[in-house]
Amino acid sequence: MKHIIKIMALLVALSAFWISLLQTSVLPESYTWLLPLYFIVSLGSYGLLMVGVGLMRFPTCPQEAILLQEDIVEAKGFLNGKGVDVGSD
Amino acid sequence: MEAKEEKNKYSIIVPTYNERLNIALIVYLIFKHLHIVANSASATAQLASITLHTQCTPRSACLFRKWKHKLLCLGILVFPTSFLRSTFPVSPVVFCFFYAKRSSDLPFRAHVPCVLRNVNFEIIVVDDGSPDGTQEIVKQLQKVYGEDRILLRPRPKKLGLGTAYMHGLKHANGNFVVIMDADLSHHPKYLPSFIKKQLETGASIVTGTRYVKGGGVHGWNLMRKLTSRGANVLAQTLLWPGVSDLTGSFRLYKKSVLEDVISSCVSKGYVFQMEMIVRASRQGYHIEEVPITFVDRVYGSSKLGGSEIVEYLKGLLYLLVTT
Repeated sequence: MKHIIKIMALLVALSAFWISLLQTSVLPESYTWLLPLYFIVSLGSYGLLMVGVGLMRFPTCPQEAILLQEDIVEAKGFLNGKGVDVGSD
Repeated sequence: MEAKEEKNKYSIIVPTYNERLNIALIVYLIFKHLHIVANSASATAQLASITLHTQCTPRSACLFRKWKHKLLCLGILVFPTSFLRSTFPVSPVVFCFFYAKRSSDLPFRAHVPCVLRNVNFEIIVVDDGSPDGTQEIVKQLQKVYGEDRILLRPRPKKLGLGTAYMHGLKHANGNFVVIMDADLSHHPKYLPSFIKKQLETGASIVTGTRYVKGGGVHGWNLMRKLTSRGANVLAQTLLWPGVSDLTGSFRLYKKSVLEDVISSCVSKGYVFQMEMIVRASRQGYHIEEVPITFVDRVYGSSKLGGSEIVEYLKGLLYLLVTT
């Protein structure tokens, strides 16, 4: 099943639910008409929240840069000894 | 922690362009971390020099991976989990069961060096006609390490990453293929953890992820992190891919799986990497993740401009509609 069809099915189910809410008048009409807008806005703000949280918790590894430099020095030393040209770029 | 190695051969494909210095360093590091010959005097010295920064996740019970995939296909619970899994610090109770079962998210019980002895591997350097003499350096390395270990398969000019992989794949003799970048952003010290993960779980694809605990990035400024995070959340919401790092290109594939997936991909650049992993996920291949650290280009520079963002969004829409 293609992915877009899954998403379309989800949207169709949500709109069917919304239309049924409109028809059965469980909530006041004016409120029900605005429900899709609320849904989109809350989805957007949840996404932004996730981006913010992810940004704060972004894993960093400054010690890896130091380890990498040590590895480079070790590699250059070994390769120079074996006759491979490791002059700088 | 050591593991007996079965008769698997790993072909490491490294596409290069103007990587005269980096390719030599990478070859040395690959040999340092993979070529540990059992019962030799140099082995203990090698083991001592490999510090405790490679780590293995605990043996993961993949019982629920099959069920999760079945439920993924039905579209149930995917939206919240993929939205939440990669970013939410504390998952809601309903989904934390599936959240915690992803082996790469489990807290590491111990940092033990992943050491594998007698790994049979070869390095395939696919050079796109570098003007700076990369191929001469590779020939010198072949004299040091042997022509059966380092294969130089050059091409006349820059023809693209996807075709570089296909070219390398034609010359690969192993039953597993590892792809990695030649600019030292992917450190070969994670190769044993990739191999170990694959042996433990029997996965078809093991991909390195920078976005989970234990992995990480160095050398990115705030804007870069922001675009990366935003792109990741967008891709997770739209595509439900089942992996946390879509654009990463440090991966281990079974050779048959790579041949199958690569023939159906048409994108270019890093969207190509995304397309490969999304197509593999759609076809139901078993994908596992390993945390890796990514140190941005040591020598040289990489840019992320507006055109790349547009390209990314176009690629995302293309994948949304066609996979």
